[in-house]
Order: sequence, then structure tokens, then C-alpha cells
Amino acid sequence: MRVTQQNMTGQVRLKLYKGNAILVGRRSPFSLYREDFATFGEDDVYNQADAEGFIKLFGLPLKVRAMLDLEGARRGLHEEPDYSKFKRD
Amino acid sequence: MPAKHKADPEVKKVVLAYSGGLDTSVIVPWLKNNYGCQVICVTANLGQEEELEGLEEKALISGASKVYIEDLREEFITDYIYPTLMAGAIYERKYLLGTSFARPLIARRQVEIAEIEGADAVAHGCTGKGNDQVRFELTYQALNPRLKVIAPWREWDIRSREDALDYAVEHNVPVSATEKSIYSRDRNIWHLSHEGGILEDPWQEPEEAMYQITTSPENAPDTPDYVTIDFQQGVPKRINGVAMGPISLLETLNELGGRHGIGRVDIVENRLVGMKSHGVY
Repeated sequence: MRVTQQNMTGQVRLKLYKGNAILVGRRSPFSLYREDFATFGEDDVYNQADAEGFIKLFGLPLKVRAMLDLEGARRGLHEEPDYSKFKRD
Repeated sequence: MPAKHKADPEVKKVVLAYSGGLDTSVIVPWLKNNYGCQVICVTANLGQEEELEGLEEKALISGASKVYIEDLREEFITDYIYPTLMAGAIYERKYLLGTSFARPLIARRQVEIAEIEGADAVAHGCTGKGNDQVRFELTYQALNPRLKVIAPWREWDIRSREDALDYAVEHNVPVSATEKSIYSRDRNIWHLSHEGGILEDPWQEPEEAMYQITTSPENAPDTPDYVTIDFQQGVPKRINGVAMGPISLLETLNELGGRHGIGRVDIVENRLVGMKSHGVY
């Protein structure tokens, strides 16, 4: 447990109101959140062009499966249930 | 009160988790009569805000040969509550484990004392229907499986508060004149639980008078309070910039949160032993 807490240093601000503890602010010297990275301007850390390649690779398993479906490789593997047997409102 | 078990002649000294309530007070003479053993009482202060004065005397009058009253609050917070918070552990998305982690701490201290005292058994006052018996006994097993475990509720014939009161009177156990609470409660620095009474109907909204730590949201102040908590490596250290030890810190937050009606949870939950129960925290 201790190892997971090494960077858990900072402050939390809560608003206490009528049964609610609402988180209104948080800050930490170890935070991975950087305002300058998150804005839409800077290209040094986050290059928008990288997103295209990332999406292609991240979606590769979905894409391969879709291609197989198109080629009919998975035909007959899964039969659609006959939903007409079920009552509808 | 005829016993259903075979009295174990090997048991000469028992360490009992003693709360000073009717059940555990009755258990002291019951153990002596049914096992012919010495009874050592252990009471833990976990922030239950109950009078610990007079507990030692009560235990001794009831027949205990020795009484330990232990302030375990700081250990409870730093070794049990904080690691649980760090893990983000919550049962069934709602129950914050207030009684769950208190019992193993009490049980651990019982085992330590049993070893110091050369006792051969440990005992608790938990019923046979709940989770607490499991919490105590798993801890005993994990720390010292050689200790015998005695659970009077699973052995005796006492079925009601009246039975218990009769037994108490018969055996010179001091009985206080306080009103019976219709709720079964467990309180420590982390929570206050309620079961029983009208809560046994899960459709009933709990009545406002039942709550003891929190104001209702309706009656909470119309102006919010802001609080800043400083953490160091997962441990809360300051409130609004003021450094505090664990006990003061929790007491402060309990008061602050309670004033604003924060912290109420109403759950129908699953006990490990198979039954569902309705608990309000």
C-alpha cells in the first residue's frame, strides 16, 4: 500500500453543504495534470498529428474483425436469436 | 441455564472481548459456570464515546479476574482506517467498513493478551447471525490457531434481552437502569451503525431522532463551509493549514461533516453468512 501512496501528497479543497462533500479544488507537486499541456495551443508535448496513428493502432483489432465480417469469414458462427418469439409492449 | 456444549476441561483461562454491555457482562459468569475457568476482560477504546469509567469495576463484580482497558484509537486510525482509505475499499459500493476493520483490531489485542496471560481460549459476545463473529474468529485463526474459541451466543439458551437480564440478576451482574435502545448500534471514531427497530422494514425511512452524529441536510446551515485537507503520502496531516494528529483530525472532521449532514448512508447489504440486513450509517 505504501508504494502506491508515494506521490499522494498535496491538498484537497472540499465544500461542505447540506449532506454533500463537494470537491472544488485539488493540487499537488506531483500532479500529472499540466495546464500548459492541456490547452489546445502547445504542440511540443502533444502533437496532434500523432493522434491519427494512435487511433489506427488502437482500433486495429476492431478493424480486423470488421474486415473478416465483410469477407464472410465469420458467417454461420453466430445465429441471430429469433426475437419475434418475445412479447413486446 | 443448561449448556448445549460439552464443557472443555482444558480451558482454564479465557480472554473475553468485553464491551460492558448486557451481553458481554452476562458472558463473564456464564463462562465461569460452564467452563470453570478464569475470565480476563479486554475493552478497547476505539472512539465509541462511551463512559469507560466504572467498566473495570463492573467487570470485576461480574466475576472477571483481570481487566484490560486499551486505548487503541491511534492504531485503529493509522493501521486500519488510513490503509483502507488508500486502497479506496468500499463494500458493495456503499459500506465504509467501520465495524469490519474494528473487530480484527480488538481480536488482535485479545490474542496478544492471551499470549501474555498464558490463556488457552478467547471469547466474544457476537451472535451467530452476523458478520462480527467471522471477523473476530478469522483474526484469532490467523494469529494463533492454537487458541480455543468460545462463542456463547452459539451455545447458550439465552434468546432475549429478558433472558439475559434474568441471568444477570441471578449472577450478581450490575445492570444499569438505562433504557433499552430499540436500535443495535456500533460506534467508533469512524462510524456509527444502526440496525434493528423500525429499520427491519427496509421501506421505512429512518427517523431523524435515530441519528446521533449528523444533523439532517434539511437542518444543516444554509452557508457552506470550505475545508482544505493536506495529505502527505496518502496520510491526512492538516486541516485548513493546522497540523493535527490522527485522533484530533478525525474528531474535527466528524464534527464539521456532522454539522453539515454529511456521511449518512442507508444500505440493504449482504452478510457473509448469507442473510441480508438493513443498516444505516
